[in-house]
Amino acid sequence: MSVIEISSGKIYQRNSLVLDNINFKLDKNEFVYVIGKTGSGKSSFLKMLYGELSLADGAGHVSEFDLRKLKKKQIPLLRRDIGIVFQDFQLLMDRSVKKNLLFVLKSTGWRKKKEMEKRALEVLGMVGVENKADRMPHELSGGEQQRVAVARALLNRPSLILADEPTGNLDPETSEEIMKLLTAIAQEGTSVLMATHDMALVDKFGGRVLRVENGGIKEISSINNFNPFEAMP
Amino acid sequence: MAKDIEKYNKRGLQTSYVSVIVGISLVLFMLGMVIGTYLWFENLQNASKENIEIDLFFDPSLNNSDIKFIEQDLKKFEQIKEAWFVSPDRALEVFNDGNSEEINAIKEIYEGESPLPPSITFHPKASIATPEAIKTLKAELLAAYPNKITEINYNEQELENVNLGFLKAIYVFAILAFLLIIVAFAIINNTIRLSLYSKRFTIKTMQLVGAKPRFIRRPFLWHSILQGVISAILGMALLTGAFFVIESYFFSIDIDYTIMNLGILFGSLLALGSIISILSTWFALNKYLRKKLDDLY
Repeated sequence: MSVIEISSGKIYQRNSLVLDNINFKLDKNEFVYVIGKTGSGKSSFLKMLYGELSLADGAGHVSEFDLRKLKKKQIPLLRRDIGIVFQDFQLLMDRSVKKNLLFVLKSTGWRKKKEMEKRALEVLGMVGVENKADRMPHELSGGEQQRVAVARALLNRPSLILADEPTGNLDPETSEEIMKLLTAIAQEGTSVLMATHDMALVDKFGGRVLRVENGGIKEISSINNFNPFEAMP
Repeated sequence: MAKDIEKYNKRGLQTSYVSVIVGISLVLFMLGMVIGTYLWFENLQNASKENIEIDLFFDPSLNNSDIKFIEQDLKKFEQIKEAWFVSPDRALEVFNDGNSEEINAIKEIYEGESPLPPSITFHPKASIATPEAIKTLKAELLAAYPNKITEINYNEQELENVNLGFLKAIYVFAILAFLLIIVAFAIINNTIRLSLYSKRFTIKTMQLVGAKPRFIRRPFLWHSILQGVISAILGMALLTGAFFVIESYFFSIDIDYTIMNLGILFGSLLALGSIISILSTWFALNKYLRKKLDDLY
């Protein structure tokens, strides 16, 4: 079964149609970019996938969750099955890095303190910031904060990671490090869907590319087919 | 270092909690003043209600011991606070305001005996000191001692006055308390909403990582209960201070609360503080839990 499958989907935001006729499929282990200009609807597409916006028409599922029949109560469960990484990291600024991760574990049903601590340090190790566990988020650099956000997304061994412009606030060097981390995650079995407008990164790391444009989503076979200036007057 | 910063952050948050708590305690103090004054009035009224005297007169064929037997019986009535036997001599003393010359003169006329019959006087309990309830009690007593009690006397006007004066006061207090509760709710609600507004992104992040609303709400609600309890304690401390000042500076006012009164006062502040705090937190939290990420900016 594919991790994401959407057919003839529509997304509305505040009663206006943002994306129409969405047809998309993402399989296990895949790394897919969603590209497009700012305001084109990339974020809305991702928001629909994590239940922040609803799929208004057509059919679709993420993991085992039917997006058309998704109830309010199921949204937290859907989000436990996917890890989300944001442009602005969205860490809980009032507590240390480890407590950020422990909060997620506790809120998603983990009970044993020892196991929670072990898992938190394990994911911090996977992204290379295990020595920052007791630091406050604002003491870390942007790259380190984003690594923590990726670690947080990995906590519950999700089948999918949704990354909404994860390198948007980072310098090119740090962006590359985060990209290496995400591609490594994809190779280990977790699918990654990443929205970005950083064409250089897409070019460098490669993968399937979806282009969001004029209220629709089109798959382009390779990055070379994408002309960022095409839509410009 | 991180722990220091965490502590520093907590201190910053504590300052905002302190202002919320101070706000709630001041509102509770105002409410406490209204409730306290009401209870004080009620005590005054109960005292005057229980001061009403009702006299029972008996058939002349009954002797003193028969009447004393009835006195013991009456003491068991739950409507009666206190009952005592009034001998003919005592009745004469009361009748003449203790003027011994007059008493002796009357006694001389009646060959050394008091012309007044023996009777029983009792104070009703405050809860039944209303014209209707006393009438019911009167009928009950007449039925319980047929042919024995000939007359039951009390000052009807006094009984009516004691009830009427208080009825007006109740309306005033009810309106005042109601208005204050609305003001309290509005102020506390606003204060709590503001303090939660600053946490709206934290709440959203919690939702985005898969936390259920119930899990997110729990610490906030516990916190709101704690806030209510601390505010009630502070409000009560302020009230005690205020009562002390009023008693010291206004000598004519004697505030005398029973343990029960103080319990009611503290209990109401505790309940109101916690309920208003919990409800405000609940509604404000639900508002942020329902909002979409884009609506939070």
